[in-house]
Amino acid sequence: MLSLPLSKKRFFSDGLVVLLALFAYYFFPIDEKLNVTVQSLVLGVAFFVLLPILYVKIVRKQPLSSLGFAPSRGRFGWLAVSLAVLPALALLYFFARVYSVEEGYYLPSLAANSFPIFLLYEVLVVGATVFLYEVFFRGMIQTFWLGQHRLWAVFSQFGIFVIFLLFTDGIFWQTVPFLVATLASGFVVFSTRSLYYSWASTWLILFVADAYFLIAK
Amino acid sequence: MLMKSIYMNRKKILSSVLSMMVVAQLAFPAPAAALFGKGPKIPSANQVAQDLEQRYNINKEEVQNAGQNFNVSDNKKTAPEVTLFFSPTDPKEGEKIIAKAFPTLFSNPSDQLYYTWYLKRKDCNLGSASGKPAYCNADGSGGITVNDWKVTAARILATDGADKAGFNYATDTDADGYKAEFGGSTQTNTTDDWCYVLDRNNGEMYELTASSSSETFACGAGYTPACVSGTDTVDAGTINSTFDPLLPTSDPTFTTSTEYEVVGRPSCNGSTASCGGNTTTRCVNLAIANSKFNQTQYDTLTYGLSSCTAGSTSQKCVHLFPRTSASGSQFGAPDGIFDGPDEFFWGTNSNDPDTADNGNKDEANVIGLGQESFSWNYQSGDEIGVVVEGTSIIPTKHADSSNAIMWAFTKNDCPVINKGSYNSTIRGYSVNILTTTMSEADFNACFESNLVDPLQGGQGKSKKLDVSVSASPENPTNDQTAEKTGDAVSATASVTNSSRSPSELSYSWKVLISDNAVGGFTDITAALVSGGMLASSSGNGLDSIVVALNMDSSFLTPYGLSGVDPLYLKMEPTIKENFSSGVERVGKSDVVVRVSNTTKKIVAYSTTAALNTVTGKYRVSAASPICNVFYPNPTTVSQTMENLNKAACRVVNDEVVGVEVNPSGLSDFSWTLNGVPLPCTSDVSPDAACAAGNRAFFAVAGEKGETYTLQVKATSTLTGKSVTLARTFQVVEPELMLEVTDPTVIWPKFIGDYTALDGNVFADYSSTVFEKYSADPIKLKAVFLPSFVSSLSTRNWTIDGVSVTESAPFEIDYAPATLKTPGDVYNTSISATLLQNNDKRFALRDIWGIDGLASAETVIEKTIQVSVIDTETLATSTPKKFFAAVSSYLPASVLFSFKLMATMAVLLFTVGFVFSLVPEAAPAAPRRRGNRIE
Repeated sequence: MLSLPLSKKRFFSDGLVVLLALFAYYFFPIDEKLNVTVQSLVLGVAFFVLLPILYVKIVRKQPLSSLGFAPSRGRFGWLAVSLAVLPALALLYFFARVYSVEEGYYLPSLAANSFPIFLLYEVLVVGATVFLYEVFFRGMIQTFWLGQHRLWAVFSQFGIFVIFLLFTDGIFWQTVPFLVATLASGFVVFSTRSLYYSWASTWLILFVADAYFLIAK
Repeated sequence: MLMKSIYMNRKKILSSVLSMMVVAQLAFPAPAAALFGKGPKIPSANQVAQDLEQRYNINKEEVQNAGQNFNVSDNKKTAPEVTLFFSPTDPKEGEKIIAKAFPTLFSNPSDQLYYTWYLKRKDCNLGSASGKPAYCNADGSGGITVNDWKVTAARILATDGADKAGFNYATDTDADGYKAEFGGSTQTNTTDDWCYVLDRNNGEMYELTASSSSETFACGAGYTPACVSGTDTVDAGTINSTFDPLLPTSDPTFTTSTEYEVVGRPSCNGSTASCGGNTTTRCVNLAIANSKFNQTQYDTLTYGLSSCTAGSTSQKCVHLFPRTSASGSQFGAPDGIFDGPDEFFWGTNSNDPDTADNGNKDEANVIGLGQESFSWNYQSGDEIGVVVEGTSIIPTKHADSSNAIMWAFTKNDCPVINKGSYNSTIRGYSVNILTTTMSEADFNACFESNLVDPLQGGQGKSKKLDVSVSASPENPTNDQTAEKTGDAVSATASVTNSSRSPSELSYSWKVLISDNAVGGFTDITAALVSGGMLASSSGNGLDSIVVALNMDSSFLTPYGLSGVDPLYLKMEPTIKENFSSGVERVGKSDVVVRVSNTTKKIVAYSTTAALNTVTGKYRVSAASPICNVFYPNPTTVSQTMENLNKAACRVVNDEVVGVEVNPSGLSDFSWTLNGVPLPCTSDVSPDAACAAGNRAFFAVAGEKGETYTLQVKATSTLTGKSVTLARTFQVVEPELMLEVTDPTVIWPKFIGDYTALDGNVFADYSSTVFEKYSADPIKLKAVFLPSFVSSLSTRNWTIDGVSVTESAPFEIDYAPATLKTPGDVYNTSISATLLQNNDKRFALRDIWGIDGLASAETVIEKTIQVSVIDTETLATSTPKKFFAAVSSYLPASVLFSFKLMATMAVLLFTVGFVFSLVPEAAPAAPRRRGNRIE
């Protein structure tokens, strides 16, 4: 029987989990009698959060900190956030200036017409969505699975995210902030080893982008 | 009829003949000059008759025939008759039965005739009353006589069932006597009642007399009274010029003489005998009475008749009414008395003149005045009869207004006995009248032979049922193979003279088999039943049977008929009609059916068409077999329908059908379609089998339901005998059915159970209503009948008006975008357009002359409803349906969560399993790279 070194065995095992989670998320049947957005969130929680956590805890018997659920060192975290968010926002601003990004950028009409709801939307929906992606792409893929590849892991998770977007929502101006934030938060988690800061950086980027395009429109 | 006409017009005929004779004499007078020398010729009577025949186009033979008939017309009398009819024709024990008499050839109305009914109960035969039921001796005296039968019936007529126990016979206040005139109640105040009996053997009427005497004449022994006529004869002798021609008597050769003959019998008026006309009353010697005689004989052998004595007769007429005893009082007597004892005897009410409430007096009812109907409570063995007295339409020879008074018996069975005759002078002529001295007792002796059994009246004239039987089809084929697809022969029996409906008749069928149509048949009924080829062979109402011709070799071998072709089946029904009396009528018939018995079959093919580049015409070729699929255990309607193709291959219009028979062992094929030869030439098909003769083609162009009988005759190369195969094709409209492809997600609606006659229960499913659960897809397929037309179709499916694309040819797998709730319906339709391909249409035109317009497209549609149902039928569902039903009850969110968690669990388990399964290699030894240890 084929025998593998432990590191390779873990590598393939982790990759299998990532692959299965992505496939399960993509192919899981949508019940049309339920709200599609809620279902997407639930699926995300299940396959992007719970599944990696359960895998790490049950199969790999590792602490959750190995997924990035850990604080950063001192104030370095916020510094890393700042260093990642500002260039990202600058890039987005550049896009906004050069291209008609706002024409293809939409917000839920309810949130677009009410600031409190906008805030609630940003905190709950955007915050939750970002949390899912952070756990899976930055935590599971970049930190736990590809962590030993260091900086390459940042770009690898970015590439996987791009492919994921292509199969799910597609890449257009609405998802461009997500792409930029993915790259930025990849650097943050690479620097801090903490998902908390990467979540903060992504959420900030998306919040500012939403607010900007809301105002710009 | 001719005789009757001659008889009725005999006077006219006689006068016509005499008139013609007079005319002949006037037209051809014998001139006196003819007596002298060379005068005009005197035509002979024969010559005159011939001239008359020629002039008036009279055929001598016809006149002779008429004369011959006229001579015997007096013997062709139409005497009165009576016919009985019964209702009901099949009386049950104790049931009221009505006998109705229909008298004919009486001159008086039927309600003025006397109907003497007589009822013979079972065991009430004539003779001693000892040992017989008391009711047989109805008059209470002597033995059992005809009078007892009469009394039995007369009491019923007179009382109409009234119970005399309630009548007071101490008084008789009603005046219900009745005087019966001879010849019917209309013959009042007639003193000359001449009663006659017809001898049905010689046709002579015999007058009833107590005694009679002929008139007598005073002629000596050896002499007979006669009317003699003399005829003068002149002999001109030799004409001689020496004598005065104006005085011929001066010629000695001129002579005269007289010739005599008897021309009749004298009449006797008072004591004077006389003859009419220019005749002489004489007593003539019997030696010359029957020949012509001369003057000398006249003078010596006859003498004058001096006196005579007139004839006489004692006129007699009788009634045949019932009496109080065989020798008791005659009713209907002139006294008109019907007193208390009479009333008591008959059981009538002595204080009610019309006990029977039928408008007649009681005594009139006793004697049967106008009683055309007689009803009584029938008992098995009863026999009934009636004698009708009335005045016939036959006139008497007496010089008065009388017609003959006669009796009609139900069977006209009453021979005349005690015959005689007398002569009487009537209207100046001596008339001979035949007589009989038959008494009432003599007539009573005829009653028994004229009894009628009610079961034999009307319906019962024939004790045999008239049965006919027919069978179809004409040329069935037995299947010797295990396919058991032989034809079904049905035989139907019908009865034309049964008083019951077929369902009340008992049928017993026999099926026999032979190798020839004439004889040597063996009964195979029981074997057919046990082999499942005949459902039942006997039973009430079984007026038809169906024999499945699936007699394989093992079946036929015991009869020595394995491989014998053809076979002959004789189907023989025996039908019985049972009456409550235990009497039964039986009828039987049979039909012989010729059965082809061969393993060879005619195979039908679909066809293709192609252009013959040489002739520029299209020809056809056989493609693939059709109507050859057989499902031993069909599970769908289409499979069941497909099996029917074995009996009659269903084809559609504008189709070309190829037919073929395996040529091995056969030669000299001859195809016919509905009896019309069906040749297969190179212009029809390029197929080698066509040229060999064992394949043929025909075009279907008929009305829906029309059948084609295809027959091929060939010669067996082994036996040299002719072999005939047949197959039936039926023109049908193409049909379209929808069936489910996955019965676990959609299924036809269950309608109910059908219980067959044999007790087997079959589930019945709808063909237009289907059912499914909410979340399941609609998986259907289109099935065409006949199946081969499916290749000609283009199809368009719609569900709720939305077009649906086929998931596979003829199939859809449709998942509704919006799920419906239980009670909702998906209207599913398919529209199929059938169009024969152009090559085939050209072939139809080129070979069979069928115009292209006739082979246009056909559109058939089918619509079903798919109902979304809830889970009420859990108990009868499959496990999968059970879980599907359970899941449909759960909220979608719960179900979603459940599936999600299950998926995660599977993923984790899979990864964990793989992770734990793959063994780990031993860790590699640490390597040193510079100052680092890796």
